[in-house]
Amino acid sequence: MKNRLTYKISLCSLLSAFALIAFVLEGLFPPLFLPGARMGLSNVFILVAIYFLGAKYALVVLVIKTVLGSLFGGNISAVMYSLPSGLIALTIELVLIYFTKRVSIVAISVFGSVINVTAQNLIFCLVGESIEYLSYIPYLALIGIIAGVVVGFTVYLAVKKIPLPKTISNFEIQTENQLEVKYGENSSPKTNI
Amino acid sequence: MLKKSVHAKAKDLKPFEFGDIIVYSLTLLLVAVLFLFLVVFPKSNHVSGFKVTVSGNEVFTYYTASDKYVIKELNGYVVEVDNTDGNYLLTVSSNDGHYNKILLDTANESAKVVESNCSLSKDCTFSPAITDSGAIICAPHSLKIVPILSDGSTEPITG
Repeated sequence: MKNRLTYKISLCSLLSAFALIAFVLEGLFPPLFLPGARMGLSNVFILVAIYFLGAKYALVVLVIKTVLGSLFGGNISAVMYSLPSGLIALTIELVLIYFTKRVSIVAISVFGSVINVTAQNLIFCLVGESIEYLSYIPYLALIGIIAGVVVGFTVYLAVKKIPLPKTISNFEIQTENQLEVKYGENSSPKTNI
Repeated sequence: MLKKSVHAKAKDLKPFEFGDIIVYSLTLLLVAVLFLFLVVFPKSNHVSGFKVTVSGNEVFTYYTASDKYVIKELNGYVVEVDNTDGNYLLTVSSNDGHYNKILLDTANESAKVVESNCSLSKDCTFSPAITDSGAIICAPHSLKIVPILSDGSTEPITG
């Protein structure tokens, strides 16, 4: 149990570091067609955190990436609109992941990306009293669709190719064994999956 | 009953699933609504000038018809204007060393940020030149450039 928690915290820290590196590196390149338009490759690590670690760890990766990324990028005011939009997108993605059955990772990523872009720029326009900037939002949302597809496919491949770390999956096996002992082999919960 | 983990569920998913139709439809609907209300419906007016503000305070206004400009003093900021080839190169700098250089193209009636020492990514310098719609915003410097339209408004994209 203790090992599992240590492992999860370590993996969460690694994913946060990777997300931060991707975020800062992306900031070094010119935006795609419009100001603020980026591929959002750091979101790969947030989605990977959901699938490999769970919702609360993904939230930690998101907060670390947004706060430290804005600080390292020299634009700390970006937290004001990046963090709320990130939280909205993450909530919607979590709802789709946990409460729907047949929705692919790519679709979840595309929807999350468009919601993130729209919310981020709406908040930016409202907080910065810059309603003139609203005209860029639809174009940014279109770029968000492309970015969502790229991020979605990357996460899809990661989930398919990378097995769940043993320390995490072992815990599930242990739990199954405990249940087997409790209920007897014939009524193994495995059969109820 | 032992619940299947999110990871195990995701492993069984294909790149396209039946439920995606609903999610993609919602996405396209959202983008279509955004285009309708923010691009198609707003009326376009002829530009009659440009206004530069810092933290909401107007520091510079240019009028295309008369080819004249007005500089308003703001504590802690200096605005310098160079006239080269009929165009205006405007430098808005603060006492702590931050600056933005804005090019006002009088022939094409457009404005663009050409140089800045704001954030790492310098989004404002990559913003396309504005004419009769949109705005250029430099968030780290709280600087904004907006067109003044012939009907007197500076908010063309309100719908």
